[in-house]
Amino acid sequence: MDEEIILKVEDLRKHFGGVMATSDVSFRLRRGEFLGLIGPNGSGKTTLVNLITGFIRPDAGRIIYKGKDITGKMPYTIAGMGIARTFQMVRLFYNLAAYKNIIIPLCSPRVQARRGGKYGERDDMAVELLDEFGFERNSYVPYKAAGSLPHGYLKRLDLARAMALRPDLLLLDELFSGMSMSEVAATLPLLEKLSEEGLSIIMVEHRLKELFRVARRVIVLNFGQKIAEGSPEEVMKSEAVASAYLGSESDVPESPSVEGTPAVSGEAEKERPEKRPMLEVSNLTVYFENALALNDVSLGVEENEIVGILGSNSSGKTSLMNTVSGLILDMKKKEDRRGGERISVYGEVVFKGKRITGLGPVERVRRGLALCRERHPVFRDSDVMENLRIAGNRHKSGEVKDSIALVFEIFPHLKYIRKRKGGLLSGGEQQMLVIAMALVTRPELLLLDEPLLGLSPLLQSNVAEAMKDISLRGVTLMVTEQFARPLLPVINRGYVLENGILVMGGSRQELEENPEVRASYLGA
Amino acid sequence: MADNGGSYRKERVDRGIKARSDSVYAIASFRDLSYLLLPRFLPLLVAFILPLIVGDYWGKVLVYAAVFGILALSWDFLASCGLFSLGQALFFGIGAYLAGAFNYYLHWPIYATIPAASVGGALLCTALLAPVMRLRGVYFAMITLVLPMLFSRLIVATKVIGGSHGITNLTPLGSRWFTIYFALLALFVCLFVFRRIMAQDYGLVLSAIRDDDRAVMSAAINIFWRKVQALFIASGVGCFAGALMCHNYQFVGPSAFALDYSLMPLAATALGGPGSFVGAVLGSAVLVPLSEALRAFGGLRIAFYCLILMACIIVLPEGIFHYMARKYHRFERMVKV
Repeated sequence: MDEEIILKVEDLRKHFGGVMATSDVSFRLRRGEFLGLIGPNGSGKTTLVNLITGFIRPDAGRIIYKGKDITGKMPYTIAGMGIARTFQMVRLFYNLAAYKNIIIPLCSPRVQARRGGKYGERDDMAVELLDEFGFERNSYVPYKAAGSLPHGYLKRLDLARAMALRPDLLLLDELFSGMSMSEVAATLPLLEKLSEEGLSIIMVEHRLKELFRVARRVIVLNFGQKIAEGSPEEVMKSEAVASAYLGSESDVPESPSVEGTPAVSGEAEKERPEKRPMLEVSNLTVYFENALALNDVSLGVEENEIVGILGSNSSGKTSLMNTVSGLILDMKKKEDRRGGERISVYGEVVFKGKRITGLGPVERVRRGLALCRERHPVFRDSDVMENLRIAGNRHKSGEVKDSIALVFEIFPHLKYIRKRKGGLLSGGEQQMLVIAMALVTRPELLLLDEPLLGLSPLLQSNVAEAMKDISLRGVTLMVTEQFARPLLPVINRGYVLENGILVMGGSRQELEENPEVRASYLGA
Repeated sequence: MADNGGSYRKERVDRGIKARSDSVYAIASFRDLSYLLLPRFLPLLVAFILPLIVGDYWGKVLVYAAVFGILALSWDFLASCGLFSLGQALFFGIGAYLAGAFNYYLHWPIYATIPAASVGGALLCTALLAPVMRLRGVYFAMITLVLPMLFSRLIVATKVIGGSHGITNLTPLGSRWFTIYFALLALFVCLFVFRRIMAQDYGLVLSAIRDDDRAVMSAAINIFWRKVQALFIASGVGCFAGALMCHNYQFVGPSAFALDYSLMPLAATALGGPGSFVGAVLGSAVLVPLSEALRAFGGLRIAFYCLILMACIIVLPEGIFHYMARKYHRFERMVKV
């Protein structure tokens, strides 16, 4: 019967500078099984994936794969034995064409031994493989530089790269985070097919509804410990899971968490004395070479509002944020220097009554306009406190102290981890830190580009709450998001962006009641 | 031009002839062909005609430039898989000493010493550096920086292989013409082979290791073994440069491990544009003659040299080659719409 077990993890333990990332985790995986791994941000899911794939050495415990002890082996040895993985923050070669990214695993001894493949032949193999993952062979997509592809494609490219190894065990680290509903819908059948073909899969995921469609068994981690294991239904019923992961009200992702919010935002509306325009964007049009990223976008943000921008992947959300924050001017300069894509920007951006269209990002921050980019990196070797100080470097130290105190009020958890290095923070903690760093620059208008990306349901609502808190302290917010559910309750007004065009705008109620929004962004 | 009623528009020449992928071209005319081939063959032509024009002295400078070019190519190759070396002098010195020793003690002819020194030197250098292959960035650079110093001190202190005086009366390379053309040919063969390697899947993996070694590891590729292979190739080429130079000078001494041989290739590559190999050659072709031309300044020569180098790097931070390539790709032509 032991032949059935493909992976056996025994009492695995790992700690980073006093933090128990994994403590005595044991589980077994049968061949062909689809196992879900869930838990709050910072619960040690990614650490577990890193331990199994050899990127981190455990302090104690054993990992047995196909009857062989692989504990402490090098990542390439483990990958060569047939354990492939994807990365939470996709690790791709962005300046290479998408299909060239696939060539790297095809060059590995594992693949070579199986099917050979000479120079040139591998190109065809790569394009063929990508075709299965939605990169149509006859389109330009497989040949474009990976860096210029939208996020959803990158995720699938990462998956294709892992599958190029023809693995027996696949570890997926938040594959669905940042994917749109339609992209997830396109990827799910692929995973189902792979699972049916006998591939064993462990999937770390926050998007439970989607995960439960494929996973038969689920393990729940919290503070590095296994707190529950069983079928999705059993696990969701468990008390411990509900309080640790889903939030105490145990709002299962199906039910929108609207409760308690109207009161606060209604209060905010009353508090607002007069509606002064904070930001006016008119006729913004952005081209990347010949592709239209933003098409004649005009919108306004009033003082002390929270404005949401809803849109699926590659709808132009990030381009809009980059243009408003002035980052695009920097990108344009860099692209011009290396003779890459020609970026053209037309239209006007007016901030607090002054035209800022031609100003660089630094000057815009100085005037009170700060941006948190999507998946913004923190300084990995500096601790939380140092990160915050770096962000506040142009203010007087007294002011910075005040700002940091304020930030700790909004994110009490950051105070608790203030001595921890940026690189050791979990995805959710990094997201909080990044927002906090932007706040330390003392902005009047804060732009958040997909701040909820990759956060657990509990953290999503925490961050959404924090947005309200920030707004109550007199900061105006403009937030982009793919999914309306966690964001809608906190915004005052929203816009919907599709293919670079603002297709609708209105108050929260109007958006909530709009059938199209309900269908494509609420998943109703 | 816009008055033409929109029937013509500007198009970049390279956009016009590039077909989807970087390595496939759609050539429609003789002009397209010359657009592609001219920048590749003109410099070659100039390099091979130059020795016929210049005098005896500048001929020697040309050999010198070619040898430095080879050393710079070796540096650029290591850098393109993420190994930042500060010790090209190690390769150069070991190659020079091996060739000198084979020639002086064993009386091997040059067609035996040079290949033996290249391969033997590569083995030796790889064996020396393989244990520190896991060190990244500045640590690897530091080890490579101190190793040549260690060797030169060792030779001076223990008085082996000629001690501080070195060994003299080695077999010369050959006639003046043979020396010049052999060095140039070696340089261009090396350039071509390196560019070829990097265009293959093998090179793709090497450059991927530089960009993100964890992603390469997760693709089941033993990055340390690949790096050792790259080190073997690069050090072999570096040793070849040393062997060539010792026969050219008919002398080898502890100065073969001098810091110059470590820094000059680096400066040449930075000036010419790293990552392209052509930049390394171009940089050497500028720096070596420049340092000779500055001899007229006497004692201030190095000071002027440094100033010019600094100015170049500030004005053209991307390197001469990348600058020229960018401008060349921007050539536009009018096409009928």
